[in-house]
Amino acid sequence: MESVSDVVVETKNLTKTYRDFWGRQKVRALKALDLQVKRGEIFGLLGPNGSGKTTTIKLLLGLLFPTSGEVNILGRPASDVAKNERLGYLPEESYLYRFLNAEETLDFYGRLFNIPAAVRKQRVAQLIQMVGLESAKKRQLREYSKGMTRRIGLAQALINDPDLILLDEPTSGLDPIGTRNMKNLILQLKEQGKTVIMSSHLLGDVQDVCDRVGVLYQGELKELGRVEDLLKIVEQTEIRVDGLSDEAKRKIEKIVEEDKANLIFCGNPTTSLEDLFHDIIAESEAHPGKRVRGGEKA
Amino acid sequence: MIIENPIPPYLEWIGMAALNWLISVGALAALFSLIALVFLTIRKGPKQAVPAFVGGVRGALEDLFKFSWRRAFAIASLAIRESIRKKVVVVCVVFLALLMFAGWFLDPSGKDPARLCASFVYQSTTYLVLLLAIFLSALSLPADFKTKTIYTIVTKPVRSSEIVLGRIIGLATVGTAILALMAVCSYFFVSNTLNHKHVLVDGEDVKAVEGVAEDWSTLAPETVVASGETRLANGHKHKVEVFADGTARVVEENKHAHTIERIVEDDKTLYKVGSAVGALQAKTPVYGKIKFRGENGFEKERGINVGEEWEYRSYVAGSTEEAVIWTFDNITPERFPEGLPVEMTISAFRTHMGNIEKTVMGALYVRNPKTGLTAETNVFNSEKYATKALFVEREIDQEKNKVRVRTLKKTGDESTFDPVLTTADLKQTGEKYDLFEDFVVDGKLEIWLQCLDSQQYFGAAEPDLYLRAQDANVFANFFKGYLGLWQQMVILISFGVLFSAFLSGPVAMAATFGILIAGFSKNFFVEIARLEALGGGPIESFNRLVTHENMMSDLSNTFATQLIKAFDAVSGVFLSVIGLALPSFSDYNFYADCVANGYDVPWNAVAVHMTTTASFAIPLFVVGYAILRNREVAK
Ligand SMILES: Nc1ncnc2c1ncn2[C@@H]1O[C@H](COP(=O)(O)OP(=O)(O)OP(=O)(O)O)[C@@H](O)[C@H]1O
Ligand SMILES: [Mg+2]
Repeated sequence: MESVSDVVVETKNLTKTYRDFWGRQKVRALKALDLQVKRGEIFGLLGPNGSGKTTTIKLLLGLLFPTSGEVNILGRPASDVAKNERLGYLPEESYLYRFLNAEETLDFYGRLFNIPAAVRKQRVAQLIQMVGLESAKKRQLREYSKGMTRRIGLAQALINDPDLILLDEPTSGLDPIGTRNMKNLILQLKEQGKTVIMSSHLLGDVQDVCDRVGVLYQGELKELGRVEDLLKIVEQTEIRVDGLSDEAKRKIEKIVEEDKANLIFCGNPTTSLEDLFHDIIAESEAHPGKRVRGGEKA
Repeated sequence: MIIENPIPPYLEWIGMAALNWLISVGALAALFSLIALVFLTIRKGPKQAVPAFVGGVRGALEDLFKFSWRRAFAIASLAIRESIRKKVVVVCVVFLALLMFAGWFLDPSGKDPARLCASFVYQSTTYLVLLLAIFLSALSLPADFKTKTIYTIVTKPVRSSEIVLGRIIGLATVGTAILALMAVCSYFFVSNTLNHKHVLVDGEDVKAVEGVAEDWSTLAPETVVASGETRLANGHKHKVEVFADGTARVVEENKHAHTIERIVEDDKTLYKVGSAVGALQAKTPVYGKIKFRGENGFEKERGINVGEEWEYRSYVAGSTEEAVIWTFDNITPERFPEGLPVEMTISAFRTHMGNIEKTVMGALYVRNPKTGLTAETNVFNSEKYATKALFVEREIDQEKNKVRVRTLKKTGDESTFDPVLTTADLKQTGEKYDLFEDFVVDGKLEIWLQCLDSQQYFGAAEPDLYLRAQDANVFANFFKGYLGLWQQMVILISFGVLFSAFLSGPVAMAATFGILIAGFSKNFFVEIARLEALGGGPIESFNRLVTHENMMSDLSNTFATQLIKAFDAVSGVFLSVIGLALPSFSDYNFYADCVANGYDVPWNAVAVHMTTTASFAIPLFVVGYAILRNREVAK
């Protein structure tokens, strides 16, 4: 049995209907969401554009008031300011002050947590290094590219060393290295025992890091469960072998045939594009200069 | 200087003011609660409305107790940085350019150039700073909403109270810095415009006075031995007098004089006129309480109305027992060691002109308020509205000053009095009187003003006669004059931030601008609300406007008229409540008037207005954060 305090976020029957100025109903963005996220978990909110992911996160943060239902976050109602002490939030797009530079930005948000100046200075430096913005830390954010803005946004969300981190599409706008870093970081946060809730419509991202996912479609929760369980295709088997002879390959094909099963694929497996890209980068960094395609070893 | 509504001493004022404030704030709180309840009932249904309202109020109170100055200052410094990086400084440059342009058009050759210049700079800074305050405050929070940066703010442990106060403090700091900069520029502009020199060619412009002995050393040192006029500069010339002891003086003209330097070269003595002095002044008037004495000797609050529509001044008839009486407090030899410098602006009203050139004669008396001992200290001629500077000597002579005892004697039925003027109880002939010993009791002294010409009248209001204490520092006073503008700015910023907590940028700006306009004509606004204005309430006047009806005529008693009047009555109640929340911006003209007319800005006024400023800023801040707190941020 898990104790109640293990539940970091809980929603009951959470519903949001956007209304226009006259109170007329416009969009039912979220319909009766029941959700529990436990301590130390990485929870993914999946869904196509406009399915209600951002709406859910805003409701959790108290940025939106629910039409009905309840939110309990870190043991408090969403409208309680005190919940923010232990919370970090990376918005969908980084909404930061464009006239500040990276250092000033982090320092400002640090001050909002009443972090003492010395600690703040150290944390700011550490975070800037972590998100890889050292060379641009004195430049105003108005000059930043989208990915750089995203990185400083992430650093901003971690300024208070939060226990619960809400990331709205953390990988949007990031290059593959950035994406990989982001995923590694999320896993690191998990190792530190933190809870992460992230939204995304990129299956790959969610698959790589999340323990559990919920799939939203048009404001309704369609699927909820552990990633392995969701991704496991029970009817299929994949065999990957290194250095198999053609002889052995034929034997396997035969066995499959005898079992009256249907061979979908048997051959050299391909890596995902993302993996390939990373291999290339990693290799380029190790051996600078022109890279020869096709794997002929020099 | 005309002061129609004198500012009462702080301690006298604060009691009533606090009470009025509590009533106003209470009324407004009730109105806001009502609106909030109605709103909640529509949104959440009647059952949920009250608990939601109570919850909101409790949360707002909690925000007050958990307020953190450090976070508020973080927000404030952000606002400051924003203003700097968004180049608000440009406004100051515009101002400087404006001053330089105006320098070409302002004509310093008028009768009172100091007043012209000072009024000009105060007015132009007022417009600029207040417009800037509206821009800064009404646009700052909406910009946060528009760029959604507010999302990253309110998801930190910041309370809306800290956001709102931080904004107000930050913007007020920016405003203050700009105001200070403008004040410094203005000071240099004014002193530069006023300063000028006159050429004085020795031997040509100054000539020896005829009939004066050749050897000046035999003469009394203050004898004028030579005189003349300077050359023209800034449209005027000054008389110059050289005294027997070799010193010289430049006579005042256009409210200023000049330094004059004596240069001895070989056996020749030259005089050189230096920079202007006394153009800007900071006189410190000590005001008394006014009352009037009627023909039969009765004291009364007002004198005669000579038929002027403006009831500011009240008149006494010449060559009668009538007098204007000022009673002064705290008159001590320490404050006025030499005697009493009196300045006055008296209005003379003539029932017959006679000799147009001839002025009206008047006299000043000092009177012991207890014994009635009275001395005639000064006799003077008055032009219409001339400011006169007189000096009441400390030593008073029985003969020269016609010392008498002025009292009232009860007659007959004890309800009528006769004015009595006796020489009983006087000192022995030849003995001198001392102003402070013989005329001042417990620091109190009466100064009487009488008109000596029959069928002519003197009119005065309380601020028209005052004692002139030690002048204040002109430089400091110039900046003190900007305190009024500073206060207006703070009030306006508070309004702007309040509006921007729930309105979009342009709408908030329009609303704040509306407050500025309504604040400058608050009295008229209140008149309309109370249905005291000519032409009736808002709808009635509008009706008169479109039907081309004049303001005075009675409207025909139809149902429509009744309806209009009823509607005006109801809206009048609402407007009155809003009127309570309106600052009276025209009050702050007082500061510029003081400096322009050469008076020290009294600290009492500053204290009263500062308190008033706080009385606006605090409730506005509370309402602002209560609204922000209950606003759905991600709407
Ligand atoms: N402020 C708003 N007013 C009205 N409707 C809104 C508002 N914000 C979102 N919606 C609607 O609510 C629905 C859910 O929007 P939401 O932003 O939560 O989607 P999302 O899952 O985050 O999509 P995306 O992947 O594009 O970020 C959409 O239909 C959207 O149009
Ligand atoms: Mg979204």
